[in-house]
Order: sequence, then C-alpha cells, then structure tokens
Amino acid sequence: MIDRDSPVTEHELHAYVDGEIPADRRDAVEAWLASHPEHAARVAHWRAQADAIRARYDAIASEPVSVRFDLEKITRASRSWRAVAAAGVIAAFLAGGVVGWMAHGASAAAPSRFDIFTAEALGAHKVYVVEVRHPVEVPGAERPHLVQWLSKRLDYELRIPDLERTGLKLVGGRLLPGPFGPAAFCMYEGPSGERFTIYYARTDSPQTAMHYRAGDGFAALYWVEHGLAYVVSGPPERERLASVAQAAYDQIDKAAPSGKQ
Amino acid sequence: MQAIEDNDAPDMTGPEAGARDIERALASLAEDQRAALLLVVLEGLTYREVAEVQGVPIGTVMSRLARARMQIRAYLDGERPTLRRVK
Repeated sequence: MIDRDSPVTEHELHAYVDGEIPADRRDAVEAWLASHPEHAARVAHWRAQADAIRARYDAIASEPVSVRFDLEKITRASRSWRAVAAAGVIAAFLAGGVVGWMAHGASAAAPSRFDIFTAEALGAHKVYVVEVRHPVEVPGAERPHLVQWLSKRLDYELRIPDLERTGLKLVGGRLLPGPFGPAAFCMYEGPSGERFTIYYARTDSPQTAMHYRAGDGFAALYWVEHGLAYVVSGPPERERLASVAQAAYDQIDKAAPSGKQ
Repeated sequence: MQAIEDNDAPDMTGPEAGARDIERALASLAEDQRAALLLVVLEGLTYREVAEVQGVPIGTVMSRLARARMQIRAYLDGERPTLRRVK
C-alpha cells in the first residue's frame, strides 16, 4: 500500500485535526505522529487553539444571528444553507471588529446549550452504537409508532428523516433522559455497519447555524430550529457527517410549520 | 506578593488561560485567515464549504488555516512571559 506509507503532509495534519482526513489515512497519520513528537506537539497546540476559540466564542456564536436564511432561495443557488448562514456570522464578526464582538459576549463563561446537548448526544451515541442486540427500544420497522411515541413524550411533533438517499437505514429509536427533560434518539446504519444517530431535545435557544464538534472517536453537528435542538453524530468524517446532517435538515425543515418565516 | 507558576508556561490548557490571549491572537491575523479558521473551528464548516464562502480553491483554504495556526502559535509563544498564570 503506497498510500499507507507515503509521508504525511502539512495539509494532512490540519485535515486530521479538523476531521477532514479520509478514513484510510487516519491510521497512517496517527502512527506517524506517534513517532514524531515534535509534530504531535504542534497538533496538540492546534487543538488547544480550537478549544480556546470555542470556549471563548461558542456562546456568542449560538446567539441569534441577524441572518435568517431563506432555504428555498439558497437551495436554488448552489450554496449550502450552512455556508450562507455561517458566512453571515463571520461577516458580523468582521464588520463589528474583533473588539466589538468581544464586548458583545463578555460573559461567555457558562457552558452553552451547544456544549451541553452535544456532550449528551455524543455520550448516548458512544453507548448505543456498539450495541448489537439492543441498540434501540423501538425498531425502524415500526416508524409510525416510534414517531408518535417520541413526539408525545417530547410534546413536539418530531420528524424522523428517511436517510436512504445517503445510504442509511433507520435502525430505530429510543427515549433518553435529557438535561432539561426527555430527549429522543434515533439510530441509522450504513452498508458497512457505520452508525449515525440523531438526538432531539426541546430548547428555548434561538435558531442557530450548524456547529461542529469532534469528540473521542466521534463527531457531531448541532443546530437549533423552531425550539428543538438537533445533534447528528457519527464517525469523524466531516464531509459524510455534513451530508447526512444536511439530508436530515432538508426533510425536517420541509416538515416544519409553515408561516414561521 | 504574587507567585508566578513557571511549570505551565508552554501550554494554554483550560478555558481561563485562553480567553484574552486567543482574542488578541485572532486580532493579529489577516482577515482571510481569521475567517477561514473561525468558519472551520467555530462554525463547523467543511473545507469545501469554506472554499465556497471565500470563493477560493480548497488548497487556499488549507494554506490560510496553516498560516493562521502558525501565527497564533507564534503570537502566543512570543507572549509567553506575560501568559504565565498568576496565582
């Protein structure tokens, strides 16, 4: 395997930190880092930078953004809604200047809803994706019952997306205790056994753009829409995770009550 | 009298150590580099999406990230004496 032995590039190290490294190169990068402590230290420093940035700005980035995106318009253009929404956030950051932005969020100490829900979702993901016999309480074959049950418990009309288009079959779902009340949890499985989950919890947080969080061997994308927080978790391959989350978002948004925007 | 801890100088662990320093380090970056880094780290965009937002090839996005991270590290390292946590 030439690929496996080829030297690790600078760009690959960044891609590794950002969850963009192809699955077949991750092991090679990790092995290489194990024998190159100087570079491992650089990678650790980049991670610490990212943690510091998130610790400083997550709470602010989760605040209502003046950019409300018109999904239809964006879909017609070739850009993804995430890109457009995030571009608005960054534009606000740059226009306000770093100082203005900082003054705006002077009290960013408490863990944000983003931190809390993402940690809950990744925790559940880690526990249940390895289950062979009992990954869910209600199997995907009973989808209508699953939707009805979870919707009733969350007192929110849930939408459990069909992700066959992205190669994922619904395994089923379960109810979870959440930090602020019951949470719903659905699991999907791909052709090579890889599993993705969607975590749903009620929240009074305002609508947000999607946020990415890399966990311990897993990664998650979080967003809030119409009073519900969503966390899509899966293997740490960003492109794949983003496409799964986008597919889920598209269906959930279509089903959302009209006339809200 | 305040004691200065020397043994934790090179790291920037813990959110409390990073807040003000990371603000200043970010402020020292070129705008394109700062935006690329924030879009990836804070907004969770993929490299492809950042390339879309910034209207540049993915290779350019990666170079911006690399320069941003190098610059932040240099900035924080250069500031190390004042970064020591004072107890």
